[in-house]
Amino acid sequence: MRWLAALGAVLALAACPAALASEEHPTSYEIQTELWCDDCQTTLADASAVTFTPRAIEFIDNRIAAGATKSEIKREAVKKFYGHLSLAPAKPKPRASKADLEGEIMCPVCSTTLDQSDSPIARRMKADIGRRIAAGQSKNQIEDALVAEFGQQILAAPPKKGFNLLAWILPFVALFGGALILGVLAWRWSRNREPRPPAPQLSPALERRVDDELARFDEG
Amino acid sequence: MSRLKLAGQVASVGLVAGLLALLVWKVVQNDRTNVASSYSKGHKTKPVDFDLRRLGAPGSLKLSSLKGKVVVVNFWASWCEPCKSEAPRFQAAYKRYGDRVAFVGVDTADYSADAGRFLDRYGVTYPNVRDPDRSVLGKYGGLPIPRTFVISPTWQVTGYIFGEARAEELDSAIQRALAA
Repeated sequence: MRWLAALGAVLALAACPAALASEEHPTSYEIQTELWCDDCQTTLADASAVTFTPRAIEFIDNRIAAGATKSEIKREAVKKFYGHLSLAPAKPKPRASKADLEGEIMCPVCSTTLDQSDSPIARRMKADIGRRIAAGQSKNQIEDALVAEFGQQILAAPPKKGFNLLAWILPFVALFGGALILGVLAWRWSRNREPRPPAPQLSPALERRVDDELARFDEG
Repeated sequence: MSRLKLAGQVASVGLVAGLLALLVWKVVQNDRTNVASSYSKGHKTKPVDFDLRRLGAPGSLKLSSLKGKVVVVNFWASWCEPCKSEAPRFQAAYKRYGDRVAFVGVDTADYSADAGRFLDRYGVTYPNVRDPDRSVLGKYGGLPIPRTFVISPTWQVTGYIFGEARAEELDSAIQRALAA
């Protein structure tokens, strides 16, 4: 467990300076990708040269040269070119995949996932999922809609929250506990093993006799 | 060391015995609470109460609120073929018996929109409720559907039809409940 925490800390420390560097020493292109050109419906970086874009880029370059931070430059640019520039929307979430959803949603009447069922309700649900994906709904939205119709049991895996979290944690706890018990037992067993009794000492006469017998055996 | 070993062995045997007892209890309990199985074995069977949201109407319906009447409970779904054939028979019986018999349809494992269209298509006007996760159906015997239960005014199950209900079957079950 300790090494996991240490790894997390190292990764966090590694990521921090990069984020700080980006905030304090941004590049012009980076800021342009985070500003939205309202006139052209793209980011400023992808915008063709319409009336104000060269001026906006020049403004960004000047502010970088003056040592302003990324947040300051973005805020100032939006203010200066109000009505033309705004903050770019967050990157859209990846689209839901039909195959993923059909593997993660249960058929309500056949105790298998949708992808393994051809029952009428499963076919109906597959069509519904396809329609929702085409309408641009995210995976979570589709899952929520199906849970609202059929209840929590429709999800093949329990959600990772609340009481259901136990279903995700307990197998690892059991695995870890089992390994721990086995380790302790093996350790105790190896410690408690009695040492082998020393070989019995032969009397000199008997030892001589055994040597003679072996020598005769070798000769024969 | 030998004491520890003995304690471990006793605990293991206890655990196995406990799990076995739990399994037996669960099986017996399931059998008892399953209305269809209990009725089919000839046991005196009381209906399991439920309180489900209405379909196509606001609020919910509690089965026990109908105590004192003959009640027909029909489990169905819009994707179920035999349910389509029997739906007009239930509606006809509902019209025929009027206030003497209460009808409750339980739509199970279904899209609410599909269920609504089903009721419109077959002109069903008696109260229907939704059992989206089959929790109530499970207590009445589970899949497959349709399943129909007739409850007497003394609150005993006096009739059970597994599969598509024929008009005469339904009628005779209702008559039996009315006479009880």
